Amino acid sequence: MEKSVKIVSKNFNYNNPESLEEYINSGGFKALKKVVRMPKDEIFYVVNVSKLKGRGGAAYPTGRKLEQAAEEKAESKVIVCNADEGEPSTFKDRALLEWAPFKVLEGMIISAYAIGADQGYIYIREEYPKLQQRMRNAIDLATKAGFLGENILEKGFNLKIKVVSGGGAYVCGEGSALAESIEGKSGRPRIKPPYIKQKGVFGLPTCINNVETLSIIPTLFSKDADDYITSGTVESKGTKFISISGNVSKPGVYEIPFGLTLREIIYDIGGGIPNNKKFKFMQLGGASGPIASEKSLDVKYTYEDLKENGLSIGSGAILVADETNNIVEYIKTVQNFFVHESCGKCTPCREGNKHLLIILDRFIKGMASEEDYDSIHRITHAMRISSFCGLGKSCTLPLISALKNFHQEFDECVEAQADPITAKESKVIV
Amino acid sequence: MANITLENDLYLNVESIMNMYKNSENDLLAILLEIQAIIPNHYIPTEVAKYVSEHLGIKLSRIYDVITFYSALSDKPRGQYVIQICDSTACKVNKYETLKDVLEQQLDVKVGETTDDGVFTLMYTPCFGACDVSPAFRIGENVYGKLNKKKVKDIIHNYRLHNLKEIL
Repeated sequence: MEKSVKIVSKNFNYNNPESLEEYINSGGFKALKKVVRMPKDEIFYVVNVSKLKGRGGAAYPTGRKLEQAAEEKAESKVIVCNADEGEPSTFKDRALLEWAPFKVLEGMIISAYAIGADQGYIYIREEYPKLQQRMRNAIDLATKAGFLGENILEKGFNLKIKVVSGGGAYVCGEGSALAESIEGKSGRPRIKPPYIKQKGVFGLPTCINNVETLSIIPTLFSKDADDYITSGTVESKGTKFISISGNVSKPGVYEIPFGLTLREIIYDIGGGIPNNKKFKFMQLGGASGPIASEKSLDVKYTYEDLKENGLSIGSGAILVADETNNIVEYIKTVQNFFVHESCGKCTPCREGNKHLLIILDRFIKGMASEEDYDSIHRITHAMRISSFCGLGKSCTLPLISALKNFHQEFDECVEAQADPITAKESKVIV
Repeated sequence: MANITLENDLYLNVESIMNMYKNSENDLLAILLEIQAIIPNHYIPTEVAKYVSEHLGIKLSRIYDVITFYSALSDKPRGQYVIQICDSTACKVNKYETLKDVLEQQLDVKVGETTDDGVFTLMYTPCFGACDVSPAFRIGENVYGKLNKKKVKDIIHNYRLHNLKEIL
């Protein structure tokens, strides 16, 4: 039986995703037309009842976010679609922008209407240049058709949307860094408060939402809303777009109802592990997500079940690794990424990441000692409690969880009992 | 003389990019990305950075803050084709090292270097969202996935042919 579903992605088999006509013929923009006739309270009520949470990774309740944005008083407000999908092994936003550019746009217009925003930015990572163009085309067509611009649907509501390219910086997925980047500056996070919702892009109240979150919003105001709300579990209603990759037979983006087990996702949807290899570990939610062993395979994929097991949905990435992978080498790959992506603004993240990489390199060369474990715990603790933004606070999770679940493999690298994992020279950036 | 005309052309193009963005400082990242795209060696030369700074009326340090912060921008010349091998998580478990070995052998350079003829630069890059076709690399706007030894060789061969045609 097919375990993935098509609720939000119901009409995603467009012949030409860039055709506004095709989108409208499949029921597109009906939700917007409905929303502009609804009282604002009712709009928030619908989003709140759906229990929709931010799908970029932070899982903040979307209804609450929109309500808070609506409460801000200002001449002008900003809505941002965060398409800076930088979390390694995550590519569902890419798929959504490819498949349904108008649906993302419709979700953005509905949200802008609800909070009273008149300026919009779609911040798309530099790595997706073709999608930037696709969204620019979608904006042009929607403007000509009267869904954007002045006096939208004759409701006296104005909204202009602009596509902004990133420059290849993971940290720009963080709200205040993203705001800096939209302003044409280097994307380093700002000190808070004031929060982005109060003073964001160009000092205006700003509401930032992930691509997937926005693409779900039109569904909540369509005839498919019941199908959506009745999927999943009581706490995790609806569906989620997941990116499955790594050592699986059918990597890709799938829409799944919350509540399947990780085993069902990996084996039934992802097609299992190719070449008769055994499952070894998985990393959920991107590079900053925890590493889990096969003991977690029967955990249900919901916000609540994962949390109870020390895991999280994060960006919806599920990376699978088979028995041929060495955990210490894998963690070093993760660590390399954070060394590259730390913006350098705060010391714990900038220096901590570098030193963790040096320590991991000692493990790989079979030169680690018991003291290195103490150093890891000391450094990761300092990073967690004193880093400036979410990057430094959360990036130690893979290492800590790998140490917990695969301690023996690290122990084998401790000096005296160790053979170097690889004779190749390791790359250390200091 | 030929060189001077070429340079003038470049500055005219740089100027028209800035005008397209209404010479707005807020679009500095976008302006620099577009300028870099029209420079054959995919970088922002010092003279161009100075020109942008004067034209937009902003400090040179502000330009370099942006150039050095974003991975997509470079202040050093690179090859005509920049091959970026993904070295993040999904490509790690799909053994990106194999691609690296083939490329290093084919191009006779190490990662981080440019070929003697200035045609290719080989480098690592963090995940660019092609994990469904991992292992992958990108050359400019083009992403190549599900790579094996033969495919890598064919791709390089095609780029070389393309380059030869451009010269002739």
